[in-house]
Amino acid sequence: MMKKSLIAPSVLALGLLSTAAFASAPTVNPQDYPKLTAKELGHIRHLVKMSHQLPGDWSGFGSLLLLTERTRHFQVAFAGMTLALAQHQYTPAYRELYKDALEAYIQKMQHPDIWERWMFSSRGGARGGLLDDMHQGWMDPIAKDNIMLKGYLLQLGAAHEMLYGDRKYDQPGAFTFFYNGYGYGNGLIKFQYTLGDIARIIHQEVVDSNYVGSACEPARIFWACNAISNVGFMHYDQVHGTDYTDVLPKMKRSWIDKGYMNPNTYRYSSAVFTSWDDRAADQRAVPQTPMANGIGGWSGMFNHAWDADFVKAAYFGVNGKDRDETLQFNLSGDYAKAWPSPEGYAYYSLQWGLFIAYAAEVGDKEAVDKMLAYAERNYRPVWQDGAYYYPRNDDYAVDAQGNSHGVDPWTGNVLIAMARLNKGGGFYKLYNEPWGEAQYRQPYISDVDTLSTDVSQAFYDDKKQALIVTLSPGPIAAKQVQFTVRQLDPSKVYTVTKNGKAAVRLERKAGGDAKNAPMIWREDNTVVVTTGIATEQTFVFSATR
Amino acid sequence: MLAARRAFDCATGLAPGVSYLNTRGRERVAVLVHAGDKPLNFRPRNLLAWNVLRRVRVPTITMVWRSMKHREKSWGMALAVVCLLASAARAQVEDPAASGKMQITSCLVYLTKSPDKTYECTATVAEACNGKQQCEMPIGYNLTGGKDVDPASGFLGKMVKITYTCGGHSRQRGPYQQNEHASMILECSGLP
Repeated sequence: MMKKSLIAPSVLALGLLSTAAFASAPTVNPQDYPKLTAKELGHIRHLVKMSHQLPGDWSGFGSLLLLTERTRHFQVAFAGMTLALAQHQYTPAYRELYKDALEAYIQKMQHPDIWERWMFSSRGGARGGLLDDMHQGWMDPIAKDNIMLKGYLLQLGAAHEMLYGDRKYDQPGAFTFFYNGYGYGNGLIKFQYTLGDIARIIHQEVVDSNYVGSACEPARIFWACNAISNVGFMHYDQVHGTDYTDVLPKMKRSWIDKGYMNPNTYRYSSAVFTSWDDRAADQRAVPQTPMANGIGGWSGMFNHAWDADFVKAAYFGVNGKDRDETLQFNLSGDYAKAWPSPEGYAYYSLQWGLFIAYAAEVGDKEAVDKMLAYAERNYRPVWQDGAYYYPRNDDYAVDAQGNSHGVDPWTGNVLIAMARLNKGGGFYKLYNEPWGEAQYRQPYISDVDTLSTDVSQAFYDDKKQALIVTLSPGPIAAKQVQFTVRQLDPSKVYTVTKNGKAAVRLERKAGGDAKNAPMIWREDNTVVVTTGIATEQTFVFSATR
Repeated sequence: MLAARRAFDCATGLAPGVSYLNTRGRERVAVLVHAGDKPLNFRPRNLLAWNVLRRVRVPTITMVWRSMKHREKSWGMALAVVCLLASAARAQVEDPAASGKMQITSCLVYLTKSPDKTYECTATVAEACNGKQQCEMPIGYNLTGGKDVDPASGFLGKMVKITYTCGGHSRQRGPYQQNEHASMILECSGLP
């Protein structure tokens, strides 16, 4: 939801307005702090916009492939985690945009279009030799199996808790799934869970499987899907003081000991089948493939957070061969020829996106740059109302130079954006440098009109006691915009520079004339800043005493 | 006129000269029936009377009165018919079974692999839901005395089925797995 500009509030206290020399403050160079480029801001704007599409409006999410009947929901979850990464890495001192969008994505995960598909998946069937016929199935999307939904709820919900110190997903009914269809079924029913319920259930399922994992479809355990809950446990433990991450090394050990993963060749089975009745019984792994390709990036980009050395080594493979072959596969257009069918095209476009995201996380800048160049050249990116993305294209024909225009929405909307925003170890930092009360109490900005303004930089340097904010013009032109600075220390005096030049000495004191003041310190200890926005504007608020 | 007045009282359920609160309880309204050939006098707000009349499903009573006020005999017969209809409507309002409010007839928890092994939960559900138009009923261990009656069978091992009537018509909800995180919505509206 776009915030509107604030009208200048009633003034209680006002800082002196002066361009005279100020008391000395530590030198703060905005270039030393993370900052979003125009394309990165465009990706973020696109993901935020999609998050706020009305319930049931899945415009832009649609794909050729209904991967396990849930392509939209994976895309939804990955979009949320891309924003979480950007929030953590680039604009920790500007949160409202990301918080609202993350909550909107979490809400989308509870839409019937997403969760009701479980009724199909839960029935299993004769395929794969599990049953003689389809089972009657069950409706509850959390109670048993279905890590492919609840793992993402854990990951997103726990990330939200860590980033914002908000325990809304711990409340009763935080996740509610209401079946109110009349056309079939056994009547209206409602399922309600908290984040803690989900964490506990997944953890128990991992234990009950002898540390192979929680199942996606019944009796099918995927390494990729458990990577999501693995890192979800990390944030959950950090916030709640639990020890659910105790299962992470046990899972890896279990997979190696049972022969499902080879730590020397970096080959693994993407899935393990089990008995229908007992996830610890009759376990059979599918044939092994390199961890670098296929859906290897799906787990790699997240498992890097707790197993960095191994995951990076698996990305390259022995002597870098797996990485080189996969990169070549993606840049030569072979990905578009591997499985010439609608589902094949979409699948391999997905693996293209998973690989670039994996490359970004482990810090393979060369691979990322080459693949981004391929995308720019072939995937026809668009700018639309300040949003930047690669629209779905079903033309998977390959020319003599290996160029193909074909791109699936999961890759075009989300995974390329994720790779561009992740400058290396982004998820590692997200999961190993959690925020807490110290961060929640730091100065930050809010009340930004996102129609007219992009926030490309918002960082508080605790050591220098400096808040660095850079605003860029948004899609709608405006002469002036405002934003609010919160949680400045009213006992301190701040030197404010604008675009490198001394602008204001800011302190909270009574009296004075507030008219035409570019910065107004209000009674509630917030500061409203007014500025032109024809070009980029950089502010540094430094505490001097 | 006395017969007319009695018929009117019967049809509307209103007693002459008595004060009534309106449907939202915000104001008092007096409804007076005059003797003789003077027309019905509702004061001060006719909205109350219309709300009351609609509830007893005799919306046209005043129109019948006004159009028939000079024909006592046919007017009396018309009102008698109306009175019968009103009585039936009133009966519906006062009797839950007849009015569409639910009556729980059975609740059972049974084991998936041994459906003949059942646990009674009718009283629990009836206490919570009888007489209601809609009832959100948790279907966890509250139905079996707070206990998992067969822990080894897991989530899929226990099923819950509830039957109830609405206005004499039977409905079934479930079976659904017994589930500490689930609530069945029992309702008398909508499709059976």
